[in-house]
Amino acid sequence: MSKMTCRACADFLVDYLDGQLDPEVRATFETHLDKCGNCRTYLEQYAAVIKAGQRACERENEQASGALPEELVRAILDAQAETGRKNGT
Amino acid sequence: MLVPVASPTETIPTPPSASPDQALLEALRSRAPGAFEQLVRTHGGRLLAVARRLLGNEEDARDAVQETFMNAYRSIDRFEGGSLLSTWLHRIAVNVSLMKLRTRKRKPEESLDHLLPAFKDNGHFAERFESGSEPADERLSRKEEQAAVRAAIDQLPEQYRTVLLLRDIEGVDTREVAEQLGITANAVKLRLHRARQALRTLLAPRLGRTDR
Repeated sequence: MSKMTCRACADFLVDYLDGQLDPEVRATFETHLDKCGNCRTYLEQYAAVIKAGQRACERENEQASGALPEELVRAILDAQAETGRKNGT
Repeated sequence: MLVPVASPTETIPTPPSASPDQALLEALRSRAPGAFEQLVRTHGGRLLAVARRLLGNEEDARDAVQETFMNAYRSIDRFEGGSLLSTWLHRIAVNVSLMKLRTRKRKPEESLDHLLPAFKDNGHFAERFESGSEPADERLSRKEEQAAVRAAIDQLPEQYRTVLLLRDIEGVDTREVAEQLGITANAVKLRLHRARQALRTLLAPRLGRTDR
């Protein structure tokens, strides 16, 4: 593969970020990136939204940690007690 | 040392040589009073957040969390302790949520073509993407941007949102996502790519200027 278009470059983004491009394609991909500022910016933004999603959801997990509604806790414990009674444990 | 829980009366003592996970696991296996409640109170909140994201419905999410803990209770003796309890529970919650998604009436596939980048005939992008004054990553990491990021994820059509959540957020690998959803690995990658591209478009006003 000697040359790559922006469209092909975009199509390889998932494998590129997963480190799964074969070396020859990766070299062509990176050569294209060196020459194409528009693709560099696109890649930067594409990678940024992935990280932003991860951070936003991690923050959501942190906020939710230890905050299970009490009625749900009770429902789970009642279901467990019922199962325990049936199994004789 | 005690494993922290909501109520001090429900703590399981941890021997000095054991991790809190090991102590709780042993307590669960011996059916020690309070052990299961401690498991629920310690891990339930995070699991509810995961189920809410995947199911987008409070009632289904709560059912999924209850089912997760009941599955865990029934299979605790088979858990070998090769991973953290939190990782094991997370995996069960993801599987239970996906089972629930599969039983839902399938919605017609929604297009997100309008959120994908356009290309000229010569293969170049039809748009010019401009970097802002600070890196995109730093801009989107601000606390005030996080609600916008979450809202943008929720705007994605379900079949794309599910793949993005599983791969990028919940850390499930492509092969397993494919198995769980009954699609090929290539279809997973394609949906993931389209979902990320659409997310970038939705967040573009916060990333920098784009000239068409």
